[in-house]
Amino acid sequence: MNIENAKAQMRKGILEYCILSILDKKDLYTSDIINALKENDLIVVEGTLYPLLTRQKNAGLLKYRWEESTQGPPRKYYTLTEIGKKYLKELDESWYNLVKSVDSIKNPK
Amino acid sequence: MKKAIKINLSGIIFHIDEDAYEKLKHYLDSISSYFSNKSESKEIIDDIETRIAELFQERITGENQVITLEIVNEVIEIMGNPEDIADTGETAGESGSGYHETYRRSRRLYRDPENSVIGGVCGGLGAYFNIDPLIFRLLFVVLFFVGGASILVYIILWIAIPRAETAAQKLEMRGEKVTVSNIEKKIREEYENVKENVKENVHKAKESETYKKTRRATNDFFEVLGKIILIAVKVILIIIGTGLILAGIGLLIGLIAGTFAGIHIFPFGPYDFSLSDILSPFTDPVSVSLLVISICLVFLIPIIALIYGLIKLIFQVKSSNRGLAIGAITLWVISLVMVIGICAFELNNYSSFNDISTSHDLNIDSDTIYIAINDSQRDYLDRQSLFDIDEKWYILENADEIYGRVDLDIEKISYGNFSLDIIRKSKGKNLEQAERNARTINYNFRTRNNHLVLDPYFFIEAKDKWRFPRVELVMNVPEGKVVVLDRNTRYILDNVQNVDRLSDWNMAGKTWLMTEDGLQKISEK
Repeated sequence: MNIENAKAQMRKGILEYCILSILDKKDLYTSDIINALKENDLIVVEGTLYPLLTRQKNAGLLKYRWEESTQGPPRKYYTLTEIGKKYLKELDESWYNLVKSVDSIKNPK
Repeated sequence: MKKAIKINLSGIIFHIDEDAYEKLKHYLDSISSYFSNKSESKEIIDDIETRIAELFQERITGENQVITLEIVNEVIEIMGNPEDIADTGETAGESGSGYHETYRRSRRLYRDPENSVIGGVCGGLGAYFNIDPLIFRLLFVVLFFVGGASILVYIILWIAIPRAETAAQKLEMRGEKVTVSNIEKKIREEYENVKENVKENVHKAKESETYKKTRRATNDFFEVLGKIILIAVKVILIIIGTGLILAGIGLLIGLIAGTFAGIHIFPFGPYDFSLSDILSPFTDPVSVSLLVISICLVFLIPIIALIYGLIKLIFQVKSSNRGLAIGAITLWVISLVMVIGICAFELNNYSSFNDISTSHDLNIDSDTIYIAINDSQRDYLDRQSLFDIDEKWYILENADEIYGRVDLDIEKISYGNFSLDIIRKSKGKNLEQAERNARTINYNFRTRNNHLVLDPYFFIEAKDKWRFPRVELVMNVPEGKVVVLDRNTRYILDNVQNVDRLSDWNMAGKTWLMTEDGLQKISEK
């Protein structure tokens, strides 16, 4: 077993949840999402994010709008849809349960 | 000095070194090749391109206006390698409606440049009717041999049908929907093929402009010439190859018909019998059948393999069936072993040798004996003989007997009367069997007054099988008596000793006296 691989698998599992959580607070464009994830060590390489965003968008969880940028190409600003918000709520619940379960396994009473 | 290329990335123009461009292009292509859903892939690539444009912009400073290979490498490191990117994609689940969007739409007839032997006509027809082009190729070649008109038809089609040049035309040719994603897929496939040529082109770009121009002109000329020669060679090869294939098929049919049905094996030769006809005098029907089948397989398998190989070679069929090949080789080896085994087993029937001798007093009062052979039997065999073994044994068509020529020797006896010894010889598995076989030999002669008429041939029943049967006749002549040999005895005289040292052929037709030293010629008649 490769420890880096195990860590990557863990991160990958919650990445989707994290993207939705980040966008729940504020509409962001891709680089902002990347920065937020990078700050928290959730992604190593940026490229991994794009397929996830595209698929979440295609699944109806996200939508985006174009905004002109002064510095470079126009930017895609992502925002949660109604479906995305419901989806996130369910994931939130499942996340808390998961944390509780792991916690109780780690620290049995 | 480096060559720089201008590229447009998300609407922003960048100058990029050629090596950096190659690297970036390859990077993007390999990412997109990881995604099965093409429309999704396009979107992802667009996003990635946008991000790369941003990263490039951050790295362009006042003094450094060109994207170098280092910058591209740096950006690729930030973005991650294609496998990682694709990996996250898969955990998100298989979305989309699936890969093969091959809607069958109305097709158009084009010549297929990717699937062509001569002009791509058959490839195009194949794509149009959704049939393996091989069928059309075979049809054209066969029709060429039958009437020859197919060449004209081919040329007309070659001229009339347009070549599928663009990706859209190629899709139309296959009846696939002409959508952006399908075209993209097509182009991506072609890119792989062209990739190798790119290196060559980069190399060419380094050559000086004028040299390049002249080179291109000559190149074009030789390219066209080469193509013409190539096509001519291909056509000739196809014609020769098809001829060989047809010959092979003919041989195949001939062999099968000859061995099993008893039809002529070699329709042009003097032979007029089947393999089982040849074998049946020697062994029992079961062994004959086994031998015929094994011998057939020993010859047929290589012929079929040859035909198959030629078809594959000429029509560029790319298929290999390992199991079939191994099966064929195994069958061939088994057949060969069978042939050898049966032959070895049969040889056992010839290991021992035995003979039976019978003596016949001819009861001739005269001092002179006239010896002749039975001409009517000779004529009969000449007419009926199917084939002979060593001009000594004759097998007849639809006859129940196998005939063999007898040998006649003349020897001196000191006293007594004319007598004839008949020695019947045969081979067999052992001495007893050899003797039994010798007993199956039938031989006839007759006497009238002082005339002896010998049958030139003995015979055995066909069911008794040929076991090297022989009959030796010894004519015993007392000293002082006279032998008159008819001209026709020359066929059976076998190394007869005589004082005049004449050959058998010359002894016949003359009159001989048995002296103390042996036969002596006393008259030319």
